[in-house]
Amino acid sequence: MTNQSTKTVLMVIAAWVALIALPSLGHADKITDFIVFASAYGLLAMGLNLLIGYTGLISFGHAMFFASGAYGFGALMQSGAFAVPVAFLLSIGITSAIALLVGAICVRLSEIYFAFLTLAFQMFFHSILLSWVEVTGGDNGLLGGIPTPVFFGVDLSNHTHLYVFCVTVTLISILIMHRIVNSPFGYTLRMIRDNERRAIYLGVNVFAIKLTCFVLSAVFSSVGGIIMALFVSGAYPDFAFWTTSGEAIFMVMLGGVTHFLGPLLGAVILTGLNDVVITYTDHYGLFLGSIILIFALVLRKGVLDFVQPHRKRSKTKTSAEGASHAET
Amino acid sequence: MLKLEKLNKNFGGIKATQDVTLSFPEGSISAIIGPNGAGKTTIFNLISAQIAPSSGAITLNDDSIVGLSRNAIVRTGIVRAFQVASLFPSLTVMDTMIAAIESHQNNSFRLWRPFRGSQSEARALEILALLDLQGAADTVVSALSHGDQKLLDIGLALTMEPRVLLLDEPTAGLGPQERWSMIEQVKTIWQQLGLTIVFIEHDMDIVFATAERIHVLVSGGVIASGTPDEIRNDQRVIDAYLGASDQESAA
Amino acid sequence: MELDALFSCLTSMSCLITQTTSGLIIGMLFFLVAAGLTLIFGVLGIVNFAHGAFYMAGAYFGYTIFQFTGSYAASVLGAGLGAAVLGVLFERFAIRRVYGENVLLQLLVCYGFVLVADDLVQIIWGSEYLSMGMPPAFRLPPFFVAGGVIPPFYVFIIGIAALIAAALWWLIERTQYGRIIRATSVNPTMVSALGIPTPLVYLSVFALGLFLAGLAGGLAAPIRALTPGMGFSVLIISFVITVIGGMGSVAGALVAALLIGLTRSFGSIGFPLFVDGMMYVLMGLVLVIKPTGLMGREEASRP
Repeated sequence: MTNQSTKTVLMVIAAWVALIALPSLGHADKITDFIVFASAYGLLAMGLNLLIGYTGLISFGHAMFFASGAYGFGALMQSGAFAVPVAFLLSIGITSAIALLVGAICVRLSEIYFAFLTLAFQMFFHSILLSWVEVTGGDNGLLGGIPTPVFFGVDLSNHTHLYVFCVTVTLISILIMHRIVNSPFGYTLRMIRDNERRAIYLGVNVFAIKLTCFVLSAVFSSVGGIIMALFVSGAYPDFAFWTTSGEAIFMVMLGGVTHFLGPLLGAVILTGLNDVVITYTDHYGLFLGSIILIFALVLRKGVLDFVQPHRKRSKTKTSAEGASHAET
Repeated sequence: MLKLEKLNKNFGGIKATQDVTLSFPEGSISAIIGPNGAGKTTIFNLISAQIAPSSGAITLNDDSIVGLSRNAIVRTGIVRAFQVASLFPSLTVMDTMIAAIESHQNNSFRLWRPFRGSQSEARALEILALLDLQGAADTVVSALSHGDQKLLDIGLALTMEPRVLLLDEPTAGLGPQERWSMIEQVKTIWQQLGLTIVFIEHDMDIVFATAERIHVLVSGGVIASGTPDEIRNDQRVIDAYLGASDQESAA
Repeated sequence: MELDALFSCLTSMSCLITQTTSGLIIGMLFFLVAAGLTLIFGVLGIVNFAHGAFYMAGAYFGYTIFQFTGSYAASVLGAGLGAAVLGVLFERFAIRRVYGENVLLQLLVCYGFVLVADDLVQIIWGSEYLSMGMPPAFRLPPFFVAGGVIPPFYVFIIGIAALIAAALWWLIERTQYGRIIRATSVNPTMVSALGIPTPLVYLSVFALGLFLAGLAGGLAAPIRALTPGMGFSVLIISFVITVIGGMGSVAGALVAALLIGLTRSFGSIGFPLFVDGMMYVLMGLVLVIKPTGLMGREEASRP
């Protein structure tokens, strides 16, 4: 329905206008910093949710792509040979290549293997970032700032320009993801998530679909990484550390896997929480860990409401007696 | 014409089917009956390439289909629906149908086209109308009644444009009234689409009221094939099967 | 790549012996951690993503006990028991609530626990690297075998770990308890129908697995620098081992652990910057050739 698409585009434009206008209300720097930070993590989480929420594949290694975006873009810009848009696209290409390789090995595997293998590849990637000092700067990361020559009149060293650029890129990415999720491809993902065997019998090439989704998901997460690199004008090994993947998963769950914008909401909440907590305590892990445990163990009702519906039923489905889900 | 000739399937030492020879003329509706464990579902599994026969031939219009992959079987026009409805619980009925039609038309990789609003939607509506499910189009599958889930499972089979439709106990698990309305739907599909339908069924009233031809299977072998009247009066069937069935339904 | 160095090592008896010993000790310590991981997976059907945290806890417990008592034996035992007790609490109050739930919840619980554990260690023991030092009993001159250097402590660790491996084999294959846990891993419903309390079986297997992890941490404390977060790389390597050996197979874990130990030890000469990489390449190869692992029974790629 073109109607629907027009509505979505209009909403995105409205969001863009609102976000651009927001800093003029005061506390401009604080607000823009927060929004850019949240959109970087928001894209990481939303990209990840293409796998978790729509396909039912739990990647515990998505920080790898966040980092490949940041490092790829940062290193290409530091080389001085590329304009911003070119480096942007090239770094997406690099991420796609890595994702294609990792995905080809991982997407055939069952749930637990998939989660752990993506985690293992991420730690491998992390160890490469640490040891390939000439390109990545090793422990220190990409230092010395990321030069951003002016392109099409956009100067990313200017704070306002950077803000507008990040908001625009984020919203366009969200628009593209929305389009993908509501395409025949997007519904094929849902079929696989709900009942892989039936999807196969309907002729779906599950491997190819999962692999495509894995690459797309990596690309959107890497755009988050690029925004992060621009924002901090550098890239650090921590981007690829497992805790970043863990946080991304938590963002996805906190906001709700079944809602398109859920992970973005989760990113906003967690980023906000970070800002508050870091000003009061050094023991961020203790705090975040406790929140996560409370969320996963005590507020489980909420988690279940979000996460469980399709999983539980699809289990019933595969068992011999499928009659019970008639009541649910 | 779908033909099985001297079809055998052994599981270890157990003969699940023995020299099964059956034919299903184009456009016919036939039932396979027999006590539990007679090998009825095995025959469906063999035809749809879920399992490979130990020996024997399966031909569709004189072309052998033994050894084809499951998807290749589907492309020849032989499609089955499942005994336990196998669906996508979180999708709506309409979305399920559109998604299935899109994958049948190899559109699974269309990333950019809106899911709704294509010709597939019209096609989905057609099938839903045929199944009398259009009222439930926006219902989430997991909220459907058991009978409607089974109907939708048949609907999924129809998206694959079958010429031969295999229905494994379409009325299993349904109440007495639901059974009859289900089998009415099956008849409607048969009449409207001109398909060859083969169904497995336990309810004898339904079988005799619906099928043009009935095949009786006992312990993996065919003991009788014929019209409802022939089967009704066949002494072997009465001895071997119908008596047992009465006890079954009495139990 | 330093292929020349690797080649000259492989042709020199002394280097061969030194590297083999160091490969064995790495392998045996990882085996203890991986054995617990694979046991818990085999019986409980969950992957304990927090396993490394118990290795870390064991190491720190061992360190402190050693500070107070000066006894390495006490410190190792305390490390294992401490980790097991912690494991019982973790199972009782967290993991038990997510058995049979989707992996996402299990993952999140473990992730939260690891964050808390790492930070608690930092609060209690500080964030600096700690070094426990070699227990006095092992401050002996190394053995020289054909020019190779073998510290007595290494021999001790390899021996102890081999003993534990044998004890574990005996426990699983030869005792009533072993029969119960093997049966539970295949068919928990049947076991519980026989009147055996499965929650207790789960709890005990969990405790056993973490006892082994803590033990490994305690054993390794004299030769490893202690730091918050040290458990994570151990977890990753142990996981690679369980994948190579086959999820749920203790024997497979032993073979894979030794393989990884030797790969790391010789790899550090031939490909000093690619030691982790070689491990992943090995894992990738196994997954491509035999997705269930060398001795695995669990389907890795079920549809």
